[in-house]
Order: sequence, then structure tokens, then C-alpha cells
Amino acid sequence: MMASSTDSALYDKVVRVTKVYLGPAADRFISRQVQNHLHKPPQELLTSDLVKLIDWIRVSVALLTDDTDLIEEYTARLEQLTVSTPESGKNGP
Amino acid sequence: MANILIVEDDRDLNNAYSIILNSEGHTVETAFNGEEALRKAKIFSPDLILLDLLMPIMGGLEFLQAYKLIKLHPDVKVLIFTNMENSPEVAEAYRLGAQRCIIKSWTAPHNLARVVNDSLQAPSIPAKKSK
Amino acid sequence: MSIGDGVIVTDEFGKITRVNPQALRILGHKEDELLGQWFPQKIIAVNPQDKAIPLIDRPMAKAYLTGKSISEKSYYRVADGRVIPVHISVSPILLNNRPQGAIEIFRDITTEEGIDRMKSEFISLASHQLRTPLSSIKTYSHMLVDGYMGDLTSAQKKSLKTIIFASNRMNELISTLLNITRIESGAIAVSVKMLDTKRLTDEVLTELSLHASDKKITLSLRCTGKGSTRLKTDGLILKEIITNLLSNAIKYTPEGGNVSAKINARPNDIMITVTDTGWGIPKHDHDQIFSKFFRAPNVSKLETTGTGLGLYLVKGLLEELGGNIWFTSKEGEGSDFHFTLPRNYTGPKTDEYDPKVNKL
Repeated sequence: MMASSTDSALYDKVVRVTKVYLGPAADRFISRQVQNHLHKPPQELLTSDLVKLIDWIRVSVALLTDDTDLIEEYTARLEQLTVSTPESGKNGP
Repeated sequence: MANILIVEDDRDLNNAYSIILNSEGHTVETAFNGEEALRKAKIFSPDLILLDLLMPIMGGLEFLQAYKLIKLHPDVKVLIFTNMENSPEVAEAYRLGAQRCIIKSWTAPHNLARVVNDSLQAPSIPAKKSK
Repeated sequence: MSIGDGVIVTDEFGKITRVNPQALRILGHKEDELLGQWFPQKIIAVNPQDKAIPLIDRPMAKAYLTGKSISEKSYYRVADGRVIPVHISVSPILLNNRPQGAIEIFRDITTEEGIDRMKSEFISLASHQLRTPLSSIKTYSHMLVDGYMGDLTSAQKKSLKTIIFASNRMNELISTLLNITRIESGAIAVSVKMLDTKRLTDEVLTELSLHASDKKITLSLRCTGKGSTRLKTDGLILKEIITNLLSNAIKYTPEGGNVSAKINARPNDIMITVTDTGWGIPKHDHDQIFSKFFRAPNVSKLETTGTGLGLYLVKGLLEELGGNIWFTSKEGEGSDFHFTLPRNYTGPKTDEYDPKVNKL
């Protein structure tokens, strides 16, 4: 099944949020997380994957900074994506 | 065609390289250690030096340092001869202005002649300034 | 895990929750100095020159990034300021498939390193001593064959070629052993210079032409791509890589076959492919082809002179140059070995990115 444009938009959104905190390394960081923990290409990231992805992002980022407030802020913004993004699988207009 | 100084402590190899380079039409002078090489270089004025690194009395690196200090022939090409590749000594030799490194046990006569001829034609690279 | 190993457990915030007496002993800390503290800050990982390594490159971070156990050598700066070599194994702790933290097991390998260093020095010395007489054998045999000492009969030339081949094999073995020891001890000194890969490959092909023509194998070289065939790398290491691959290709190709080298000069890197029409590698052996001492059974019956070290060495050397290697092969048809080299050498292959967390 081909990924609809909604799905790759989710990955891009995750990367955009991450860029604020990790800078230019964000794309590589997130794509590796998706590939290694969800075992799929980054563009196929689904809303239903986000909970697991955020879990792993949280522990990884916890080794890059000890600023727990910052980590909370970052992961909270990622969690917002689970509600604002439409369910995947619906066809685009 | 060119003046070549061979600095190599192994007599058999020194002899062999002389024969090979003589037959290419070059004028060859030989030395068996760095000290002898310094003495001969002053008189002989080489265009290219084949320099072994591991030698008794004065080794290749000491020779290079002394040679640079004397500033005798700034355009001379130096080819390092060794059996110890990837060593810090080779890296140091490059820093002192050596052009190339030749592994003795890998190099057949025709390749030696070719590398020498190629190096003679290549432009000189000045030694890197040390930090 | 043996009783001498240090153990540290961290939670999902990277804080140290448990630490065993051995870990405290190795690191020179007291328990209350470590418990509840942030792991990356208290356990300081450095390179051998005592420079801190990027947090994303630390084994624990890598374990989270991959979700797998990571086992590697590193260096810790301990409480009294000394830098000690350590071997680290880290695994993420999972509960219902969710990461809860990590467990790290490490040990001080200073003694092992000392032994490695002695082995390394011994091999270097022995190799140098072995190579000196070999240089004479090679040089004089070639000079005789090339007619420097007068004309020879064809029978005399044939005998000399036998001597040359045998001494080349010995040379290859010494080089392989020497380089493997160096790679494993981390003692490869890379000297980077601008060189022409086409000229280098040509040199190797010339060196191997005698061997190839003896097996009636045709050698060829071609260049494609719009970029230059020149790049900055270590010429001796690259020569060793190309020699190994071409020599393998010749060795594992029957009489009358073809071995070719292709240089593809691409914008960001150079890709070199060595192709042969040889016996090929069976699919079930593909996984192991770069393993130490591995020889595919289909060829070790036909060709007994291999050590199983060549490709292991090539892979190790390429990693030192920041390159990659892969291959395709079909049994009975031949193999293609491809490797790439970055146009500018920036160090051995590692994860180059270092994300630092910013405040909004």
C-alpha cells in the first residue's frame, strides 16, 4: 500500500518539532528511530506509531541532556501530533 | 638523465637499485647510512633521493631533517623506501617533504624505474610547515 | 559477565539507579557520588587523547538509537583523572517492549591492551625482518627475468617466475598479518595525500600482470563518471585494498577468464568495482564473506592457498579510510566487489553527527 501524502507529512512534522531541539541532526535522528524501532521507512510513519516512537525518543534524548523540563516540553509537543494529525489510511481529497 | 642518490643500508638492495637506475640512463651515487648520504649529497647534487628509513648511524628521518636545515637543493625529490608502511615514521617523512613512499618488498624493478621517472617529472612539493 | 565486571543501571531519564562495588572500584567513586546522578555527566567517556566523545556516539545512546545491545571498546576518565581503556556492553531494559532504562556492564582492559601492544610491536618487528630478505628475493628474481644480468633460456625464466610467485604470496601474507594486527590494535596511522586512483589501480594491475597472464586471464581497467579520478586518501592503504581485491579475483577465476577494474568518478565519492568471471560465492555464504578466517567451501577445495583474511582486512582498511564495501555474486558466474571512498578523508567511518539539545 503506498503511503498517502498525509503519512509523510507526519514524519515531516515530527522532524520539524525535533529540529527546534536537536538542530540539523533532527532528520537523521528521527529517521533512525523510525527504522530501528518501528522497522519501517520513515515516510511510512503512522499516527498509531507515535506512542512507541515517543517512548524511544524520550530515553534517547535523556542521554543528550539532563534538562528534564526541556525533554518534557519536547515530548509534549510530539504527543500533540497524535491528536492533531488525521488518522492515516484515509485517502486524500 | 638525472642524478639519483640511493640511501639504503642493505648492500644487496643498494646494489640492485643502482643497476636498475643506471640502466635507465641516470647517474647514480650510493650511501649506506644518513651520515654518508649527507657527505655525498653536498658534492653530488642529486635531483632525486631514494631514502631508506631504518639505517644504522643516522636514519632516514634524521637525514631529512639535517638536509632541510642545510637547504642544499630545495627542489630535490625525496622518495621514502621502507618495509614499514602506515607507521608514524612515514607520516613524519611526508611532513618533512617526502613525495612518496615505496614499499621495498612490494616493488618490482620496472615499477621502481617508473615511479622514479614519474617523480622526476612531477613538480616539487615544498615541505609542510610544522605547527 | 564475570565477577570482575562493573555494572551500572540507569532509568529512562539517564539517571544512575544501581551501581556495583566493582564499578565503584574501577571508576574511583563512592556510591553516593553516583546514585541519582545523570550518567553521561558522571561517567566520562573520552577518546584516547582524553577528549570527550559526542554524547550520541556513546554506547548507551547507540543502544537506544538501535534498540539493540551494543558492545564496544571505549575509554573512561576516572575519578583521579586517569584515562583507562574499557570494554563496554550496554542493553536497553525493556518492560512490555517499552524502554525503561539501560544496563551497562564494563571492564578495565588496561592489561589486555598492554598485551596487544606487545603483540603489535612483535609483529611489526618480525614483519620488517621477514620483508628485508624478501625484498632481495623479489628484486633480484625480477632483474634476472627482465634480462638485467644477460639473456636467459625460457626454462630459466619459468623457474624464476615460480620463485617470484612464491615470494609474492609470502609478501601478501606478511602484509595481511601486519595490517590486521594494526587494525585490531587501533594502530593504523593514516597518511592522507592527493593521488590518482586510476594510476594506482594501473600500478597494481601491472604488478599482477605476470600472475594473470600465467592463468591466461585478461585484465582491464576503465573509468566512468564526470568527476576526477583524483582524491585525498592514504595511497598505501588504498593500494593494499585494490591489490587484495584484484588478487582475489585472479585467484578465484579459472584459466581464460576476465578480471576488470572500473573506476566510477562520482560527484561526492569514487566507486571502484572489481569484477571477475570466476567461481562466484554461493548465496548461503554471502553473510560470512567478510568474517575473519572464512573461506567459502566451494573454492577452498579448488584453491588451497587462501588464508580467509583478505576480505576481513579489506573491510577493516576501508573503514579506516571512511569507505564502504559490498558485493554481488553468483556461484558459477563470478563476482562484483564494489567499494566507495569519500573525496575528502575526514576520519574513520563513525556516526559524524552530534546533536546538541537546544533551549527554545
